[in-house]
Amino acid sequence: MEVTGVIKPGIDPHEYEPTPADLAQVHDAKLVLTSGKELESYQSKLQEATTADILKVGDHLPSLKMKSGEDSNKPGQNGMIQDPHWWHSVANVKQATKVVRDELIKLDPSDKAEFEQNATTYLAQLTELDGWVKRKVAELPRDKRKLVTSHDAFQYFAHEYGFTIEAIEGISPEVEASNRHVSELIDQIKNQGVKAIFLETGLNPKVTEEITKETGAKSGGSLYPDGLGTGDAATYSGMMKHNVTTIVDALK
Amino acid sequence: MKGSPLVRLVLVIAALLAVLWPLRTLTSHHDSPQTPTAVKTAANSEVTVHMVLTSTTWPFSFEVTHLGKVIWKGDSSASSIAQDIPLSFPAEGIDLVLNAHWQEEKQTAIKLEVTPPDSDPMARTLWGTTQVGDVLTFSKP
Repeated sequence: MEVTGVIKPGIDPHEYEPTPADLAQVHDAKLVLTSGKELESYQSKLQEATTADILKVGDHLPSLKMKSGEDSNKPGQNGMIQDPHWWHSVANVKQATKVVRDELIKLDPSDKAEFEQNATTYLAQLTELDGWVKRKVAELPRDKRKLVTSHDAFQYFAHEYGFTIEAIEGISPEVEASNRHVSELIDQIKNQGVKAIFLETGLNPKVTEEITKETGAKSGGSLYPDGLGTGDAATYSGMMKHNVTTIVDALK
Repeated sequence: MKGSPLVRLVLVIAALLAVLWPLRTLTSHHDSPQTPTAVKTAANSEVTVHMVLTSTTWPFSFEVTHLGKVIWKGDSSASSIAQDIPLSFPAEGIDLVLNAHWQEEKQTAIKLEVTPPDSDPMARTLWGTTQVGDVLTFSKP
C-alpha cells in the first residue's frame, strides 16, 4: 500500500489549498484521510475530485469547543465551533490510529494481519511518547502550567496535561486580537506571574512585543500549533517533543 | 603643637579615623543578614507530606520524583514503607513520578498514599508484572 501525504511538514493547514497535482493524487486514491472537525475548508474540492471514501479521522474523536473568531467563516452555534487541533493529545492520536487501522482493514481485508501488527507497533510508540510527555510536564509545578500562546490551538494539550490556556488571538493566524483582549491578557499575565508566552511564526509581532514589554514575560519560543514542522519536528513524535520541551523549559 | 611633623600627621589621621569609622557605621546601608525568620519563611512554602508506599510483592525498590528531583528512594523488605517529606503543595495539586521494580515476575499492585497536613489521605495505584512507572497526580478535593 502506498501512502502519500498531501500537506507536507511545515505547511499551515489553515492556509493550504490543494493544487491540481494534489487533486490528481486524490483522484487516484482508494481512501482519502482528512483531519476532520472542519479543519479542511477545501473539503468540497476533495469530494469533487474523487469517488473514493473520505474518512474524517478527527470526527471519530471527542471534541472540545472553541470560539470561532469574528472573521471566521466556519459554521458554529453561538460563535462556538469544534476545535480541530485534536492531535496535541497523544491519547487522541492513539484513538485515531485505531480508526485508520479499522478503515484500512475494511478496504483490504487480506492484509488485516499486517495492518494490525503495524498499528500495534505504532500504538506502543505512542504509549512511550505519552509517558515521555507526562514525565516532562511533571517537571513543571501544576500552579505554573499557564499557557499563553499566539494561536488558540492547544486546548486538547491543556486538557490532557493539566494546563490552563489563554490565546492572544482566536481561531486562526488571520484573526487579529482586539485591544481589549490584549489589555485583559496583560493584566492576567501580570496577576498570575506567567514567565513566558509563546509565539507562532508568521504572526504580527507587534501584539506579542507589546505584551512582553508590558508584562516582563519573555518569549518562550516558537511552537508548532497546526501540524508537523521541519527538521526534528517533521515527525509527530518530534513535533510533540519540540512543543513540550519548549513549553516546560520556558515556564520553569 | 611641638614635635615631628610626621608624628603630628599620624596623630591627625588617627583622630580622623576615630571619628569617621563610627560615623560611617551609623550612616551606611547594610543588607540585613538572613535571619532565621527569613529562612523559615522560605521553608514555610513547604509542608510536611506523609507518604506511604505499599506493594503486594516484596522486597521492592522504588524512587519517587517531584519536579524532576528524586525526593524519596530506597528498598523495602516489607510490604509497606513510610516517610515524611517536605514539599510545596499548591492548591492545583502535585505530580509525583513513581518508579518501582521487584525480582519476582508477578502481577503486582503498588499504592502510593499521600497525606498533606489538614487533608485526608489520597492514594493512587499502579499495576505491573516486574516494574511500574508513571506520573501520579494528587490534588486536594
